[in-house]
Amino acid sequence: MLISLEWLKEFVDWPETPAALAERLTGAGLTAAGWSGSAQEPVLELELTSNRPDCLSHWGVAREVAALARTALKPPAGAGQAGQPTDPAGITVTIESAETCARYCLRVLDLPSGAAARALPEIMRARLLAMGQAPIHLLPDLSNYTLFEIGQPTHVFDADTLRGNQLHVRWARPGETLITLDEVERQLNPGDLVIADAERPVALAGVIGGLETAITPATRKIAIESAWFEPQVVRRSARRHGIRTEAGYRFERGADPQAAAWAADLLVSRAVALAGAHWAGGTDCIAREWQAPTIRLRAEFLRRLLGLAPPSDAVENILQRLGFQLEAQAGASWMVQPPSWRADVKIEADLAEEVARLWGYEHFPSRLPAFQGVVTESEPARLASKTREKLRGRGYSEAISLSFAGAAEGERYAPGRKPVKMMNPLSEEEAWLRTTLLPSMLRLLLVNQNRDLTSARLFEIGKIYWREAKAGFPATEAWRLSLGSFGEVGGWNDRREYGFYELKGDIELLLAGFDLPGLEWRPASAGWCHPGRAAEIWANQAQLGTAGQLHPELAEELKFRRPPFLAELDLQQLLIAGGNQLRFSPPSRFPAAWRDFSFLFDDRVSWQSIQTALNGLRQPGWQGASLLELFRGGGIPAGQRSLLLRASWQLPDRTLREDEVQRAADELRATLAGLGGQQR
Amino acid sequence: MPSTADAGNIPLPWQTAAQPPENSEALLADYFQHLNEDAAQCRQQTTEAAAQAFRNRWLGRRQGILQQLNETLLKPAPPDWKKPLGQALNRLRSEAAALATTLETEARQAAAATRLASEALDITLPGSPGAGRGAIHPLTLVMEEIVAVFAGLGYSRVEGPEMESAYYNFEALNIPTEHPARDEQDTIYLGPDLPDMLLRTHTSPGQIRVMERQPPPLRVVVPGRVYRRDTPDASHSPMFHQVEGLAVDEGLSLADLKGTLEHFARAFFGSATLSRFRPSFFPFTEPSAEMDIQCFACDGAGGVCRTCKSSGWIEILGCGMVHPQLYRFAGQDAERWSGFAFGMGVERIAMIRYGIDDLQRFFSGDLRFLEQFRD
Ligand SMILES: [Zn+2]
Repeated sequence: MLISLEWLKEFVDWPETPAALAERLTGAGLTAAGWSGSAQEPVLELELTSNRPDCLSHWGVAREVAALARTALKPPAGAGQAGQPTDPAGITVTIESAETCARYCLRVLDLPSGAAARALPEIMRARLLAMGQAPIHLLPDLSNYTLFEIGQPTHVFDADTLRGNQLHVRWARPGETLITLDEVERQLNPGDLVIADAERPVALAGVIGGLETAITPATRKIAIESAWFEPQVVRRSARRHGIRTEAGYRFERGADPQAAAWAADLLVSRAVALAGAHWAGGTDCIAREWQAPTIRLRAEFLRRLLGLAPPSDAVENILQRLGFQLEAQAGASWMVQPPSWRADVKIEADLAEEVARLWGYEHFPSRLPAFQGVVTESEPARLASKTREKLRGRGYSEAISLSFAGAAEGERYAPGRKPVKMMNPLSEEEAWLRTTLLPSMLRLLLVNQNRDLTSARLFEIGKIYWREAKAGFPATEAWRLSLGSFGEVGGWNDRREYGFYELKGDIELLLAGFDLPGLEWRPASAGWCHPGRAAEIWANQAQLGTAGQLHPELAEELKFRRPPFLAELDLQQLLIAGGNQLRFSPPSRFPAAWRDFSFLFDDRVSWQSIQTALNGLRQPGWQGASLLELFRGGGIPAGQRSLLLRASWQLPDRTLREDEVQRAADELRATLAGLGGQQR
Repeated sequence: MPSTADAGNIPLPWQTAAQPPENSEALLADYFQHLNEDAAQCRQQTTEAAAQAFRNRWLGRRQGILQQLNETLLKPAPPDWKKPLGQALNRLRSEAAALATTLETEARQAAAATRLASEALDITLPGSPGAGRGAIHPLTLVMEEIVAVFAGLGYSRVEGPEMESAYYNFEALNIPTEHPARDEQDTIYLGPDLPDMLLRTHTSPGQIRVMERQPPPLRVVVPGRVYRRDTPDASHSPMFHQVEGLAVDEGLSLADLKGTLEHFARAFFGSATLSRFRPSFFPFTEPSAEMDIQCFACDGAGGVCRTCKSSGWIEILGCGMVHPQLYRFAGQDAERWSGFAFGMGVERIAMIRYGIDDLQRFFSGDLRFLEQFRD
């Protein structure tokens, strides 16, 4: 809301500078957001919360200033009465639904020839311009002026265009249309409240008038409407037709039900004074009388809610300054009635806020409360933190990407997972919630490739969403971890290209922190994977995730210059598995024995099958076999590889004898030979 | 300089004097001088070979000078000359041995120094990177720190669903259909076959969900992603992050809200941080407030400060006393319990804290941005 201080001064005085006034208003909840206008005629922009439609005018802000500065209010000049609203207006008004329109005031005036074409006096014109309103001609400008002045929207019809000398406030009928002032023909909906004459709608109630009944410079007879419409009804119509008007903005937040006649008469007296208009009659059609609610306010409640109750006389004074009626009751309490413009005040806590607001939030005490309740740790958050720290240590940076996705992406990277669609997405290309983190990760990798980074290492912890009813929800969301990488690894002394084993090593490090019996890497068959360089990760009979190189055809399609590697892991599964149960067992005091073996194997013999066979021997003191080196090429035939592996044994209670180690090594060699290995 | 080769040609001492001299070393004065000169020469080379040669020259068992002197001087000496000559030779031998040892040690040390010098590295080259570039996202850093401050006050962390029902997102928070507050949070709805499901527009539904499931006293923080149908620009994103907080107990008042949030401001922004509360409006709190901290860029002076847009204050969070209606929605007694709630935008706080100019950077995935948050 823009407030011209020069205009505001017409209604209220205040003792301080404009800056101090702005500060005072901010402190009372009318946030000063900036200045415009000139140094002589400054215009203050107030950011108003949606509960304060009463401040959407100069008069409304003046009321607030008067309450804050304890100064007197000066009502607008010229609100004399040109005639009694009981005079026959020649036009009858019928309100067909009392819930939607509490009152409808109509004033009919005759205009001398040419009067409608006159311009607003300069001072009023300047004020309208300061409000960002371009003047049109006298009567619509006066209507706008009144709106910014006292907050009550009015509408002026050319009375000669109204048919049948009657106006109805009613629901639109099927098939009815209205060409609105903005020259758009609107198909009306039975949920639209309209003002209609004997034949047709002439205005969308509270939102906008009709073009056919609008006044023109030639208008000789006007009908002024000033009414109170139900906020929700106005809001629905305004939204349905996408029309934002100053009138609609005020009605949908709640106009002052007692201001309708006042605004109508103010407008009449100005039309008389400035246009030489003659009173032709008027009517106040009241469907529902406004009734102030009565709210009980207890001093004890103030103390309980605010930590301090201002003295009784201060409480009374504050509420009275704000226009509330109150009656003191026994036991330090009051029966309070808010003024008609404060429909937002409904309960005791609302009154407490008024008291706190004017007493000043800074005058309430401040303390740090003790707590005796239960404190719980969040396991998912702990898991996420642990994961972040580990990945960061491996050179991955955390990224966060939006949860939206295209349908095709989901189908390609997570086939079979039914996605959730958005009704009103920001873009039709991304009208779905993601069912996998992988497409986001690919996008992030590409961003970095296209900024000419020679390597990128990223991860994201985020949710995926899909259609599966679970735990009372029609759709499911779950935490996933994605990793993405391309380019060089290592530094100047060990530079190499990131590959599958780098990815696997990073994931192994991550998984090492969890209790995952039967952890296994199986060849992956997902469509996005390189068929020979990707794995499904399984443990506890459940798939934890997939990791591997992006299929080269996809990589080419996406214009990757280096092969990208990706993984997606189900954090929920890790959470179920839980962390390792850390238990101490004493290390053996006796020396370990170890032997190295060099064997040539066919490529089809997997490392896992070798390990399984060796572990299966259950040799006494067996500590396991580790791979020291793998050679390929050179003198080694194609399709084969040479493995250098080291086996070790150690007993907890004694040193192994040389002949025992020898026997174990022989058995191991025989086993490797049995797998098709050829000792070198 | 005498040489052993010349020994036969020069006269023997007892041939030139009747009595051995008082000072027996004078008998071998030339040899002592020769020893010192030889050691000095050897020291100029400081090699193990030179030190070894020195030792052999003087102390060698076969051809050493001392051995030769033994043969050519001591053996033929008359009996009354043997003692002084023997003493002088012993002195010469021990001096030669000491010098040889010193020269050898010096040579060994010099050799070691040379070897180590040849092993020297350019210690200004970068270390093996292993992986050190990784960084945690600034929004995570800020969110975790906020949660940690409140964890210190006994607040438990809970999560709520991002796909939320209109009931929890609006109705149960006292925002009925057609409430103007719904305009301010342009909502993304799900469907069409998911009636009344939406992407939560704030983390506040967590308040109701917690109150429904857990009787007071309670203290929780609810961090997470929220969504609004905003076109992306420097200060808007259709997805962003909030941290919601809620405390419900017997006897909590505005004073506790102020004290708690002032503590947070000091813990998060620094112990000297000044804060203020301004009346505001949220449908689910009454009274409601916004908390500002005094601008750290201009110390509250305003002027032409861009950080605080000249106001001297920076808006940090919204808060208020829990609206009585919420206790009813959650099935709790509004007369018995009271509490406060607060909510803050993580992006906004991160932008303030790190001086980030554009909200879109958070979601860009640009490593040149992300890697600046290594801590
Ligand atoms: Zn500043």
